[in-house]
Amino acid sequence: MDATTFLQLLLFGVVWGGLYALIATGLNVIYGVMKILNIAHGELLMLGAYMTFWMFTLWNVSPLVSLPLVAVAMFVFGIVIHKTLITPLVAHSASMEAFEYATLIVFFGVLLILQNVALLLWTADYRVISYATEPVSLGPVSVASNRLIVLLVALAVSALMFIGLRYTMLGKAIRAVSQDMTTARLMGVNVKRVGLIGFGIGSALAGIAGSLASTIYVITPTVGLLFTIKAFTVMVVGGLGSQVGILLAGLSLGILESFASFLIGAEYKDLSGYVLLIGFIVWKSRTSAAFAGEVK
Amino acid sequence: MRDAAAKWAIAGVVAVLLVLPWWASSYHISFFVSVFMYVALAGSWNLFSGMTGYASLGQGIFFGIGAYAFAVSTVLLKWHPLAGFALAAAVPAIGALLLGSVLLTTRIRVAYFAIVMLGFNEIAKTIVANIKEIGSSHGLTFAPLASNLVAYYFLLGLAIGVTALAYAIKQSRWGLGLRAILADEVAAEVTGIGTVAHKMAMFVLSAILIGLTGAMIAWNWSYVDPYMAFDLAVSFDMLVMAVFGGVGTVMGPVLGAVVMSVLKEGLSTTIPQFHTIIFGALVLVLIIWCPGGVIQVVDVLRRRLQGRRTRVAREPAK
Repeated sequence: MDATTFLQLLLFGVVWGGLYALIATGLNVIYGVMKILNIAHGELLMLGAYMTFWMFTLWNVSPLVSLPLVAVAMFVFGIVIHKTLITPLVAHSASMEAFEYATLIVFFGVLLILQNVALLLWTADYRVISYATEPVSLGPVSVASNRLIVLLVALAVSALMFIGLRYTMLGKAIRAVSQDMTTARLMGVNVKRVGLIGFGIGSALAGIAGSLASTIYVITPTVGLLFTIKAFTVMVVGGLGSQVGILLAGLSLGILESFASFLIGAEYKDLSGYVLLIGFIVWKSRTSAAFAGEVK
Repeated sequence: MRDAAAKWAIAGVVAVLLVLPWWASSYHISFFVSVFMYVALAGSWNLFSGMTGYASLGQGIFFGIGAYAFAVSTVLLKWHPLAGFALAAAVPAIGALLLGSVLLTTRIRVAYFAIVMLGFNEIAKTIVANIKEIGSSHGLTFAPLASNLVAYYFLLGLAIGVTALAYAIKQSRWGLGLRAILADEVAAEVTGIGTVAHKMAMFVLSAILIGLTGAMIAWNWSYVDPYMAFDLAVSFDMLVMAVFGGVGTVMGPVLGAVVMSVLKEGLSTTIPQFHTIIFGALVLVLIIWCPGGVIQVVDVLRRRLQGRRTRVAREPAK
């Protein structure tokens, strides 16, 4: 492998890594505030991607313009899901474990519904947006400008989330609830409201990631689960709750996949991510008391 | 009294199913084959995930492993089908032991376990699709089954066996241990229950039964390829059916599998996606408003009816 190929692969990996980090950030906010593992997260992304696709195809709206619209729409959608599905579960569940099990199944149901409604409405056809495909040269390597846009927007949104979580009142509340729900409640944080808004923000982030993904990847109704697993990998490897950790883990996964698909074969690209996830969970649950303690 | 009636009802249904092939058309036989398959799968899922609380989203991996163990041994190695079935039980068992020794010997979060199992299913699919010796992504073709009655009786036996096993386990001391794990694993361990042994044994048992189902279904399809054998829909369907019927109960998965496969059969010809949407919606509604599944709804209704009857019976005495 010569230096140019190396840099090219690295750049590809970084673009995908930035996107993975963004998806994982949304998953992480949702997981943090309510301990809900949103297995339908990728389906929210898929909805965002289709919104962008249709706006682009029907009315020629640039993905950069539709992105904030998608974010708002998915925020509202997240709030609706929370109000209709999660609120009754909170009232019913006897323990945290029961709640976790119930939410896993509920979001599994959401996954089935969204995926198949999308299949019904938009068929299984592969959808592609041809947007900003002209190449840009960066020293020795060249890259399609849409990939550069994806990376920059993903990094910008991640940075905004970082600042928001660190310095705003709402961000502080989200972090407090994520760290210790009971103590946060005792300190006067409105845990219910934070849970609701956190879920909305997580959904909006999934929508934004979908908008971005639609410009560099084929969109199908079943694309979601793959992204959910990638985001889950990044979230777990990055250390739950740590924004910097998530960014690093996202970039690592992107780079790992990029090199794995070049060196071993494209069909092993997704496999490398699974191996990373499983290896990490097994290793961590055996070595780290903190990780194991937080487990079940 | 009620138990005796239930036993007679079940014996009656089994007797009817045993002689049914004499009258039923070939279409009906193949419909029943798929119903029995789902009963066996949902019941096997329930044996591990329902009884321990570790919901697995990738239990179908054993379906694929069983199907491939059977295909490789009978098609490529020309083994007798019975030896093929033995292998289709042994390989998933070994696979479950390996996976279990990695995942179940330390405590792992329920949601993590679910997703990691899904990951394993996808890994298995990719690996199998890339091994040329076993047909890579094209799969393997069987000599066609002489009659689909083989599949009918094999899967009927398996469905009954799985259900009877669930009943026997729930009645036993072992079942009590599992209930303790389901309620609170740490407390169970402190009480002296061998939690790892309990979880592992159920995991392996579930894998063997799912592996056998996979082998029989692959033979019935007369071919197997990685995307059918390791289709995530297999993993998802068994979960949905067990949850719909009633997790952790004996008859819940049976009820769930029967209702859902009728629904599937009825709807898949008109709009293929529709039954999955309805599955999803039913699961949502049940988990939110009635976590015990349909069997709980039936139970509550029956108790109400009985309550009214006893009240009516008592009233004249007043």
